[in-house]
Amino acid sequence: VGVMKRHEVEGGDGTDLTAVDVIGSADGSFESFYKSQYRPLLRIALGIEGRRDLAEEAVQDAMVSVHRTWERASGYDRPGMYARRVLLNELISRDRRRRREQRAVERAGLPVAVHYDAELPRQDVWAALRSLPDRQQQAVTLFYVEDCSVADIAEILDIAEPTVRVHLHRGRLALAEQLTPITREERQ
Amino acid sequence: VNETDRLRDLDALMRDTVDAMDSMLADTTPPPFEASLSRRTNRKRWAPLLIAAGLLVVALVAATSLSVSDEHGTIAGEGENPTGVNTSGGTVVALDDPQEAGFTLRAASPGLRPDDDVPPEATVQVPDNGSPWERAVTVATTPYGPGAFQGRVVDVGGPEAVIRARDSALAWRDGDRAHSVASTRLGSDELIAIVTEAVAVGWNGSGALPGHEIAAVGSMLDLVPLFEPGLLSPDVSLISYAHPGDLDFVLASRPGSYGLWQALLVNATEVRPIDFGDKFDALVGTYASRGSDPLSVITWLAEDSTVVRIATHGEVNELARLIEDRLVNVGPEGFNALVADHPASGPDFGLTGNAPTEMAIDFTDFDGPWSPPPGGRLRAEATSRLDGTTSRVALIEDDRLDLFMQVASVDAGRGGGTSVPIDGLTGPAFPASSQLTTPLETDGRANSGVRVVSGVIPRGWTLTEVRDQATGVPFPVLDQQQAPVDGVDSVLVLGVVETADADAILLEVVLTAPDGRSERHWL
Repeated sequence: VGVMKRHEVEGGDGTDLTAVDVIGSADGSFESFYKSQYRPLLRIALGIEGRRDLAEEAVQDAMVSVHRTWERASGYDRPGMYARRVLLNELISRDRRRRREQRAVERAGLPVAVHYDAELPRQDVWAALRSLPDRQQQAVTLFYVEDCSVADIAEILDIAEPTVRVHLHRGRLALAEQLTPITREERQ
Repeated sequence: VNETDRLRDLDALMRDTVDAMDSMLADTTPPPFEASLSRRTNRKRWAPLLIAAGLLVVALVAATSLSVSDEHGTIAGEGENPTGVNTSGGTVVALDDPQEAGFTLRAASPGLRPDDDVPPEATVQVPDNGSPWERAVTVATTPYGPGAFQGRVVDVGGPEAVIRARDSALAWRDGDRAHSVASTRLGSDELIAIVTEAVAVGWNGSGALPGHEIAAVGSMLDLVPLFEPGLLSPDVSLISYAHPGDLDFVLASRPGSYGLWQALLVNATEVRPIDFGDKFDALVGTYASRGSDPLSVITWLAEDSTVVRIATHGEVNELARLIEDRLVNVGPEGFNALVADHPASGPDFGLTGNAPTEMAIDFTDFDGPWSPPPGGRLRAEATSRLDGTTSRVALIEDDRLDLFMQVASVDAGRGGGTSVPIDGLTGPAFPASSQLTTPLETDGRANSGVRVVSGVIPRGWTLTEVRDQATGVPFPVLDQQQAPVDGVDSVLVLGVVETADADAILLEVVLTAPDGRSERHWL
């Protein structure tokens, strides 16, 4: 897979963190975990949701779930992996609920439109990412947003590494299909 | 451009995109984490609607200008007789000869399913010290759960509380219930003050909030500013019309009262009288909606206290001019009869936004040959007949709309159907059941508790398990029919499953290949 730089992120306490290296809790407390992981999780959620307010809610909800199981989760080698899985599941559930709700609106024969965050740059890119099947979307998001390795993605998604490679390959090809003409035009 | 170059370009593009997002998030600090708790609750059918509230509220806030005009009668600021407009004398109407006016009948619905859980009650409450309507709040109490409880944690003096989606609704926990106070007009500080006072006096969710009086009572779907105001509530009958010139509209009728009629206008950003062909006086309320265009609702209180609404995202004055002379008085009973007699009438009838409106399923000839619609080519169809219930899915290719499925189920002359766009039948992004869907839930009559799962899957695979996502409870697959799809190595599958639990709104589906491999999908 391609070579990407690791994204430096800042924890809530101002500490510079590298997301995939510190997906845990410095002192074992949930508070510390929450502060260090909030922004990395928000980046994932924002990429998938496309709206900051909804992304923030999804992260809060995921954090509530993690908090509820913190006694067990804190015993994991890297509880951040678990939090990412919880968040991705939450995002999928939200998307499905939203689609069902949209069907309810459509029942009235009225058009449905979803607003995305105008402040989020490159909406076209994120929209293309959202158009991928769920697993591809998750794998590609973790790959590009979190700079996760295939092994990390496999652990987070709880699937085999070869399967991750397939999802990544298909997802990236599909994205390239949609997006690279844009880049080339822009460069010209 | 070869594949390697394209992926390299993609990597560069994604790197720039992620960097731009990081710049946007540069000043982000984690908000306080104070929520705790068990999130699971009794999930009701309307729970997804609650979850959706945030979406609409965002749009409402974003678009609300509160630009009320003194020139017109407005709800805001005019006390208990907010408009001064007498709408008496209006009647319940229907559109005579819609085709002549350029409209196509799109769908009709007698409201929510009769066996649905009754949505919780909500009230519109106003301060008991003057200028009430401009400070009206909508109050509801629901089972405690994630749908009712998402947002930023705020302090209301004790219980866990959140403000949802940019501060238009505040909810707080009270044991196994969540109370919410919403307003499109009040700011977050004002909402917090109202709730803090309520919490301080131990308000228990029934009756008026401290310092308020109840102005109207209705179902939560009527009054909470979810999406299209009131059009989804249990008693609403509606007929939907499509128009090639963006004047699509819904004609809706429901029993009501003067107070309810006023309450439905509370969340409008502007209310003004509209000249409606000298037939009678009516108001038009403008609502920010999730689409790019606001929703305009022409409304009046008709005979027998029936609330009539004509809702459109199009230009409301243009629509009024177009239809005003074509409306005929039918009365409440006449309107309901029209809805019931509509060929596509059903409590769960739905059409996707991309579906062809002129291709309504012909229920009257459901057991006969199902010809493809004009301009469409039937690629495959599968039919299941089970205990008097006939379900059918057809895969249709249309020059204009590409691929879509039409799915329908009927018994004893009633039923529902929907059209579902299909992305494709083969290709690298084609997991086994990417097109699986549950577009239809039946109406709770003879086929109560039956749900249709349909889609395009690889040849040889079968639908082996369906269960409730939330509880894991399995639903028996009562029948499964497959039909080949010409030209591709895929089949159209129609599964009829028994869903005894009406709250099971999210399904987990397992498909199994001949060699034993299986795929699990969540619908």
